Order: sequence, then C-alpha cells, then structure tokens
Amino acid sequence: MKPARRLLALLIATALAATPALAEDWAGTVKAVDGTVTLERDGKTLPVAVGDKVMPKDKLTTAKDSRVAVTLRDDTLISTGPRSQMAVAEFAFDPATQSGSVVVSVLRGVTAMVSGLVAKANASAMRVTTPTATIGIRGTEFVVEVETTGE
Amino acid sequence: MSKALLAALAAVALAGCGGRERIVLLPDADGKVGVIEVRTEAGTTELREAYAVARVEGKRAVAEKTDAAAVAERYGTVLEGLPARPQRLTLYFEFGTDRLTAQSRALVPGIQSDLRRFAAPEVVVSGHTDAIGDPAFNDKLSLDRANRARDILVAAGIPRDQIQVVGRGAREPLVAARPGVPEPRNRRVEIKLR
Repeated sequence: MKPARRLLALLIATALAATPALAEDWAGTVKAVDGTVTLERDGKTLPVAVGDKVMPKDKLTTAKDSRVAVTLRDDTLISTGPRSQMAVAEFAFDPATQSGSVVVSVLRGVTAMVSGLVAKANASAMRVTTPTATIGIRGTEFVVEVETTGE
Repeated sequence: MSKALLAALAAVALAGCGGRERIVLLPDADGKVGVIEVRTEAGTTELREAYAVARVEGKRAVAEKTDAAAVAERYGTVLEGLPARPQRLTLYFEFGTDRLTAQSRALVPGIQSDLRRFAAPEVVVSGHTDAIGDPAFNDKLSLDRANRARDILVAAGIPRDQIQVVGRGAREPLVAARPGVPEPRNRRVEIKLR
C-alpha cells in the first residue's frame, strides 16, 4: 500500500471508530405524528416523521389539528397538541448511571408529559420552562398549557 | 360600571401581559401522584395532589383544583397522544454460562410480538451483576451479559439497529444483598421495550 493510500485508510478507520461515540447524543425518538409537524434545528425548518431522532435544542411546532409524540432516551414521554410549540432545550443522560438533566420548554399550546429515569434518579435534574415559569419535576404525569394571544 | 364589565376588563388586561399558563398535576398510570414546583418571579407554588392546578397570570401562580372529567374534556386528546409506556422483562442466564435459563428462553419469542405495540420500536438491554468484585469489573461483566442477550434477540429476529446495550454493573440490585455476598437473582439482563 502506498503511504498516501495507507494514510487515507487510517483516516477512514479513525472516522468509523469515532462514530459510535456520537451515536448517543440524541435526546429522543419521534413516536407519532398527526397532521403537520415541523422541527427547527440550527436555524433550518425540517419535516418530521415517525422514527426521526430529536436532538438537544430541537424545537417542534404543530399546526392546527396536528400533534406529535416523543419518547426521550431516559423514558420521559411527551405529547404535544395542536397549535403548539415545544423544545427539548437541554438533554443529557448516562444510561449506565441514569444521571443526567432534562429541560423541556413549553413555548405555546398544550404539552403532556410523563417524567422518566432522570427525574427519578435526581429530584432536581428535570425542569419544564414556560414563558413565565420554571417547573421543577419530581414526578411524574402532568400537563402544561401556555395560552398566547394574538394568533 | 357593572361588576361583570370590570371583570371582563381585568381579564383582557391580564391576557394582554403575555397570556396565561396552567400546570396540572395528574395521577400516573399506577394512580401514584408526584410533586411539581412552579416557580415564577412572584414565588413558588407546590402541587402535590392529583388534579392540583397552578394557574399563572401575570407573574403570579395561583393554586386551584380541577377534576378528572374537566381534564379529559380539555386535555383528553393530548393525553391519549402520549407514547406507549415502556414494557419491561427480566432474563436470567444459567450460572456461569452464556445460555439463558429454560424459563427465560421461553420469553424470547414473545418479545418480538410485544415490540409491535410500539411505534419506531426501541429495545434497551441492560446487564446487571451482583455485588461481588470491583465496580469496573462489574461494569464490564454487565455489559458482556447485555451484549450476549442482544445477540440472542438478534438471532430471534429483532433488528440489531433497534437495540441499545447498557452495562449497569451492580448499581441496581433486584434484591438487597451486602457487598461481597453472592446473589444469583441480581445477575440478570433487563429488557425494556419502548
């Protein structure tokens, strides 16, 4: 093998070896989509389908008569109703220790949630934020509604 | 000015400062109720009972109460939309081998059919050890156990890319045991479907 080609092979092998470490930086998986749902990531607006991964900082928006459901990696369950906006503002989870942090922002409309392993392991590790409140979650099932005017 | 008109004007004024928010605490699927703490600039409101509500108007949260019927009416569709609750089962190996016990082996075919209940199905395979040996050794042993269980599930027809593998070491014993005391019931693999 020529040195250049050997270097290329080494670079490819390194890149492949590095991939698994990145594999679990996703926050959750989309489990249901009804109607029109979009996702904002890095300033781009993308369509959403069942099975798509949700990354930390992703913002989901539903249209009229639409809804979306997401299961986070720590088993937190999320359902967002019509004309709503919800973001997974922060997500970290170590499956071996079950420690981490979950911050979900309910920006408008209705979102129902069931907290998961992060809230169970540490009573101060899960929060939900709204435009005016910060909600500490020590378990488990709840609904957050944000009514906005002028829409 | 009539009282009704005053109330209407007050409602409009409040709606004008950024809208209203409601946080409702619900019983979970087992009927248990958690605790949530609603913090605003004006203070903290704690919800501890089923159907307790914090209504945020302006910067204040006011504690209120609702009931199951009102929640079903207002939030029924959103609550029905919650993803399916994860389902769990436990597999055991024959002592000192990588073969499942006959009882555990009999559970494997059912996993694939149970998985059909879930959209975009995920299987999380967590290995566990008892509290003999040091933590690093147990972390590796538990991961080895989980990997063996994953291979068994893949052989049974579950796609490998749907499976995540975790080594939990001795962190989550099924039955209490003192460090250094063997406890076969804690040497196991838990399978979570979601």
